[in-house]
Amino acid sequence: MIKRSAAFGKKRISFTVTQKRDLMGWVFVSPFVLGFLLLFLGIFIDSFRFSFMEVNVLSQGGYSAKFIGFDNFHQILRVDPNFNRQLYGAVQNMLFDIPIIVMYSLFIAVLLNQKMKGRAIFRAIFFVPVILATGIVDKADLGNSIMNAYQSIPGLDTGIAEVTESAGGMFSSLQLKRYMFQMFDFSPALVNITVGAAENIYDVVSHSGVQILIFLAGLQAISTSIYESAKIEGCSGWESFWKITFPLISPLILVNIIYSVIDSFTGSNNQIMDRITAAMKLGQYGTASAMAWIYFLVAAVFLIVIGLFVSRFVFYQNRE
Amino acid sequence: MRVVRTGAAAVAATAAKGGLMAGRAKYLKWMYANRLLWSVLRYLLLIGLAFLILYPLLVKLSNSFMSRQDLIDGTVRFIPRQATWFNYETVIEYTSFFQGLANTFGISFMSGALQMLVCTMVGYGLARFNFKGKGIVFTLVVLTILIPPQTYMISLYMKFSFFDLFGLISAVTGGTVRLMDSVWPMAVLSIIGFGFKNGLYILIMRQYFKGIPKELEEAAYVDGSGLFRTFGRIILPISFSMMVTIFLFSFSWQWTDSFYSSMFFSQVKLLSNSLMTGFEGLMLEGATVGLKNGQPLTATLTNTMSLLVIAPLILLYLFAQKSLVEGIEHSGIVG
Repeated sequence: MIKRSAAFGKKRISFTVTQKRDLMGWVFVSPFVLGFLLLFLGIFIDSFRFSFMEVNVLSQGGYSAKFIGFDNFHQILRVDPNFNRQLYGAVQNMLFDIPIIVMYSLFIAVLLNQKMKGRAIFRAIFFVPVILATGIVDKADLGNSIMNAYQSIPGLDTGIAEVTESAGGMFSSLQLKRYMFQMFDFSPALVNITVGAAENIYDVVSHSGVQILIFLAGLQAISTSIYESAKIEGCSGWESFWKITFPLISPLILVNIIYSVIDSFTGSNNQIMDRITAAMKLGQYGTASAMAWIYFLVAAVFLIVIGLFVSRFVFYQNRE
Repeated sequence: MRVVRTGAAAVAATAAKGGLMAGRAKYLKWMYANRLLWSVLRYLLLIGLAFLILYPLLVKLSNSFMSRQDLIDGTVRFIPRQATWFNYETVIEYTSFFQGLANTFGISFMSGALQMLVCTMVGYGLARFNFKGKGIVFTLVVLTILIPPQTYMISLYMKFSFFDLFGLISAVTGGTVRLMDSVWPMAVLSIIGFGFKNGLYILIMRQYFKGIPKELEEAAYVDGSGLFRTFGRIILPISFSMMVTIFLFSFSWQWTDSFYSSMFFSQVKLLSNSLMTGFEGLMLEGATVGLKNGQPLTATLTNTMSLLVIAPLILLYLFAQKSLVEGIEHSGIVG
């Protein structure tokens, strides 16, 4: 059918054919849609209902729920002294971390994609943060006396290595800031970001394993012949990065930004996530659901704003 | 890097042809110095970062070979004085490691393979077809990554303790099915694309497919290939490196997962469950009381187990990363 429409080029027929083919899209996404209806929709509706209710778990099993309107939300946003502050902190951390994590992981992925001795070993080492991302080793290490003893070596665990330790006689982070102000005339915001990044290097390294792997796979998909022809035309490495690699990897930059935003919002070191899971464990489903809804709405708003903004710069080979 | 090298080669070729000119030789030297400097810098950077990542694991590694005397000897820091296999032997025996390894491998492989296929399919559907409601489906996908499974743990548990398919099963057998401690909960979650971070995999595949040109598929359609055949024969091979990446994610996250493992497989021997249970209460030969939490030996055994859990994944990655290089070359895509 497709062949015929292509051969005759009749506008009306080809329209119905593509439309038919588009309907087949539902077949491809059907597992997810089915799963959503089967599993997720109920959870969604329940948690939405609970956020307007006072839920009490009964000792003989089951629960009782009473409709109390917006009381849960009022309690969290107006009465609770910490929630707004923690929410603001979560957003601030996210906005601060994302550019650093994405730039760092693209840089490392490009490095790990170059031909060099020991590349396989380095790639395997940079895969370790991915394995540790589920946090199982961290959990097993809670109260681990030996790891605690070893991590008392100053700065190694937190990554605030030489920058703040003036023991080496180099710089303290304050001095570093002052030098940057005086010598290079950097703007204060830029100075804070760079020094902050240096202090958080361990966090950045341990949170970018997934992104590095995604970029690395994306770099494989760029055909080497493009680089070859660019080389013949006299393109330098720097130019071919910005003119070839960057646009072709940009769809995955969007993925990594979205993932980093979500990771920063839902990561285990996030105070609000801790509160939500803690409230869940205590059986305060009403409060927990209301908190979760506020939090995820804020996260979703940021996700949409950032996603729409970035996707304007994303280059796809097929324009629709 | 590559560009610099050929630049140097080209210069060398012309220099050989036209006789050595002083300026060219100087340029050549500069090129080589530049290259050397760059590769030194690169190694310095990579080794430094690698050390940062590996430091906790190296501590565990040196710790895992320490004998009990070394543990209480304050002068032993990183290098064990009396190296021993005792910790490994104890861990492997106590946790019945190889059985756990086999079970973990089975479950991880199953969910990895299923999630890889399903997410590739859904991602392709979202990238290439313009059906109504695509926007909604895509939004829902992103939403499911945003909401961590911990927040709906109880509903999930109830779903699979009293499993029913739209009331079909209870209509036939007159009751719901308990699916705990079997592979079914993970299989079901994987097939419907709701495993751990599956939204991310769908997103990755969708963006990847949007980035590759449509011409290949269109050529296949013109040649009379059907939709599913095109997907199987053309799309899957060119997305090989992406699929390997997704498989690696889901395999290693299932391997090290403690959330689903403790919920669905509490009675099954899994590596992650053994690691989370820890070694409290282990009776050693000749001892009258079991190990207590906080004792150096308990911590050492946990460290050893952590290494034993991680090591197979690193080995797997060392093999898999080869295909992360050659993925596109298999596909025969040009330009």
